[in-house]
Amino acid sequence: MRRKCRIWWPKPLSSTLPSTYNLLFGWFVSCSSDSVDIVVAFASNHESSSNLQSSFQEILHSINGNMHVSLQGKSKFSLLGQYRPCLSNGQVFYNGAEEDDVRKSCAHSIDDVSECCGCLKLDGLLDQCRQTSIENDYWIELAYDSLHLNAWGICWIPKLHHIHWNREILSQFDDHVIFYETPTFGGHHFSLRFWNSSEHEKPSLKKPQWVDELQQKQPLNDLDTVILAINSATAAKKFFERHDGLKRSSANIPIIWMFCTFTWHILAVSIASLSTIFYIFLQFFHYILNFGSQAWVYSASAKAFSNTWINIRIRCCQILYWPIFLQDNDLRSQSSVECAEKVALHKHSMWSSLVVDILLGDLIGLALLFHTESVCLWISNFACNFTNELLRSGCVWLMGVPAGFKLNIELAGVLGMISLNTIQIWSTLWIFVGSLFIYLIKVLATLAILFGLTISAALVIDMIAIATLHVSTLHWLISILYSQQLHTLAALWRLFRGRKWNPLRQRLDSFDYNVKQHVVGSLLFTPLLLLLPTTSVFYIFFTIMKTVISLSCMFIEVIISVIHATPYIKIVLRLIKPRRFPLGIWFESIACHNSSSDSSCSAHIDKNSLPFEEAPQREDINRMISILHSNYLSIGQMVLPHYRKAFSGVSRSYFATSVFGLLSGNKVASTLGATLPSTMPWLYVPYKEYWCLCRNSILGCMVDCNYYRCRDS
Amino acid sequence: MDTNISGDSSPTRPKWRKVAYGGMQPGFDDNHTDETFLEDMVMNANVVKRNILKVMQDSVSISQYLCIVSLVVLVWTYTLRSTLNENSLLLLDISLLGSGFLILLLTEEMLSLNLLLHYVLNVSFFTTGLYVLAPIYQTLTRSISSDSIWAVTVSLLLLHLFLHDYSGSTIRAPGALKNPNLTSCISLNASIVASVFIASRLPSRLHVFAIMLFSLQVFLFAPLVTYCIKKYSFRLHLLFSFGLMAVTLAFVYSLHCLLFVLLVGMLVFVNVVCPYWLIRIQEYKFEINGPWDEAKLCFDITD
Repeated sequence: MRRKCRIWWPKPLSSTLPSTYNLLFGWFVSCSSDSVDIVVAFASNHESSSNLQSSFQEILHSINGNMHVSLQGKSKFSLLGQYRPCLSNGQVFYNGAEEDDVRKSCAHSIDDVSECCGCLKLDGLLDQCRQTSIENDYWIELAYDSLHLNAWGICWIPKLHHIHWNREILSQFDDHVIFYETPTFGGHHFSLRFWNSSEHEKPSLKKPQWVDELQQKQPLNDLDTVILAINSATAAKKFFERHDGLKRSSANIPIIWMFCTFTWHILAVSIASLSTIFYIFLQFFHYILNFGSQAWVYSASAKAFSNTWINIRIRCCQILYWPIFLQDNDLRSQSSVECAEKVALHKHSMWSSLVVDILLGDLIGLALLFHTESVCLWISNFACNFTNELLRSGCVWLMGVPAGFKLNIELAGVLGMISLNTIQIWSTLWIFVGSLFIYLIKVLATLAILFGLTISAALVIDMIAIATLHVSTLHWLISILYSQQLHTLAALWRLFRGRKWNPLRQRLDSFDYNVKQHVVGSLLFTPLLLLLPTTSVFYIFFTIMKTVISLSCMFIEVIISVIHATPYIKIVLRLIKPRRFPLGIWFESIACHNSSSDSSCSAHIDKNSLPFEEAPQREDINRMISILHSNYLSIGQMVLPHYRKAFSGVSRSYFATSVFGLLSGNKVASTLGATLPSTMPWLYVPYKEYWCLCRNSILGCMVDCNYYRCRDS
Repeated sequence: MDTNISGDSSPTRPKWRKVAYGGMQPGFDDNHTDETFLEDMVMNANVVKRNILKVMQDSVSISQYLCIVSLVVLVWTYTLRSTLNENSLLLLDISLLGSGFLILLLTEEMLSLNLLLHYVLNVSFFTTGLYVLAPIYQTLTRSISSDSIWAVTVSLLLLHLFLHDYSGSTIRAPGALKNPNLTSCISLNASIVASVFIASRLPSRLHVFAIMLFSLQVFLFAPLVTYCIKKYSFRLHLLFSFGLMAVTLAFVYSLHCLLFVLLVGMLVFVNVVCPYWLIRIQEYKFEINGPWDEAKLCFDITD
């Protein structure tokens, strides 16, 4: 069984021809005895590394300690091996000698087995390192083929000369070289699965048995660890260079840099001041509320304005906590680019949501302020029409012969008169409110401008609920009547059949009623049955009214949830730089070569360099060369899980149960049950400290920006 | 293999025994029967030998009840046609109530003040309830056409006649043994619902109250009264039945000829044709009982 090696090779290493032999650093990832993944993070020059000889193991150990926890568990960062230059004719230069000379010299020293493999001699501690690696697990020796794949910017391809694998020396294996672009923060990275998918796995259909058996089998490769290692390659290189003492000077022009810093400072100070003003106002508001929290007015208004209250709470938490979220400076300590990107997105989520909400609120609030008169007029016309055309005429119509149904005149008359009187009383009351209406609109607009759109929308929902209280009450009364009538009819029907409902066992038992019960039952059954059409007609009418009102409230609630749940930063970043959102990987196969046939399977090679004709002379390997690419998320795929989480309370059966409930006389649901962001406890921090917090978090952003920008340049 | 075939049965083959255990008996089939088969069978053990006169006398109860129901329908028809006004109806109610009580008093052996008080209380509750419900019943079916009402009423009355318990009475005198069974209750319900439908056609509240009271009195208490009369003396019962039939036929004749003919036909059918038919068919009755029957537990044996 031939062993398989996959070499994950960074593209920047292959873009220029190497002159000297170099040391390779990275990870060995293996999860089965037949294959190994060799992830090469970076290469370091032999001479410069010799400076570090004294503390080589400690350096490697400290770099390993900085890596992601799951990567530390699976594989240790170590010195992988070395590679040496090889000319295009396939001969190996070894300090000037030819390869056969090396073999000859090997043949004579039979005791020293390790030299027979053709490993380069290393000096000092590095050689000790090599010996330990050979003893413990793996050590590789790479040569290279110079192959010009100009289309992909690759100058030469690494060729695995031999590998020490658990104290064996292998020259025959299946070899697969995979080129990858080194992931950087702000550039791109690789990811195997969607970020949220592992947490919200829905238990879907029952899997057949062979799927479970498949999952229990040992996987042949550990792609998770490999991709994590690839993502951590840049951080490992950075840590190593820091130990190496290589300092990279930033080539920024000092004047522009100073101007940028100055602008950032001005921005930080102004935003911090604005935020502190809001903070002072909020603390004052909270203090006053603490006094009034015992009064019944407080609890009554809290229940009546529940939506507004919740949204005010959310807004307060956002204003209080945005600098704390932004300040989370774990960014630079994250070794894996994937984790760093996640942390960055999480940092910016709160303030972006706040800013977008306030912007939307400003737009709509200003529009409302300029058109207060016409809005007021339109709303009062609408209310008038609603009351007269719909409600009153509807009631009068029902009292007559609605839709050809011949109702019981007395009962219809009683129900109709009650409804008409209620509507009349309510509209009389609201005449007094009508004069205040214009001020209400102005307050609404001001709230939108200052605090964002969601608060005003929630206030609108509550105002609608209060204004249509008469419809709600009438609906509630008639639904009680209707449901009781239905239940009584069901019970009497059971009486006629000689059955009784057993609530303990939830079933029907046979039961002997006595004669009096039968007589009374049949005397009551007839009027209830014959009065049911009248009651149900009124019930249907009021249910339709209430459902229309509820649906409009639900629509506004959906808008509020959507505004809260949309990840704005992700969308903006996706539009600017889609490479930062990968989803899955794919391999572009460039060339493959089988030892059985001399021909190569892919024709992407330049005609100038044909390395493979010489290859089959002494090696008996199958080789394949690929390039690692990423698929990118579309905006829909990115945004949809957020919406799904926000509307997770609404299930398929929600509609079925609500329709069934309507038919049997239950209450109409007035909210959709969409989840809003959770609220956090109140923050009690002195004003000056809060101002410093805001300013420092924005300046921290500036530092991060500069750090990543100058690291890339 | 039968034992009769060979007179010299092998001495090793045992005699066939009629037992339920032991499995297959060697030398015999599984379905072997010997000469004692069906020895214990008893034929027509529980069949009552009927006499045609007795049957005809018993069928008088059915025709009596038929006449009562037709009298009720007559009263309904006269009320709907406004021939009977509400005062006469009320008078009818009160007289019926009084005569019913009288008959009960005369025929019931054990009577106490307690029982009487119990009856009076029930009746007063009942009357009050009807008075309260009368306005609701008055406008109940205004929106339904008359034809539907009459069709529903007729079908409900037919249901009532089919399911009625002719042997006893649904409302028992206190101290009766058995509870009324479900079918008799259903027939009572059907009759009440039919009377509610008819009552809802009437013009005024008092009409409704009077007719409801009348219908309910008859449907609830008439079986009890006739049961008491029958228990007291059979001759009185026969006399009463014939008188009732004559009165009914007279009234129906004055109302409509066709209905009269129908009623006469029904009475003849029930009283004459059906008993004769029953006796004729009885000859073919063939019941077999034997030791294979399930054991019946006897609760009613009084020692």
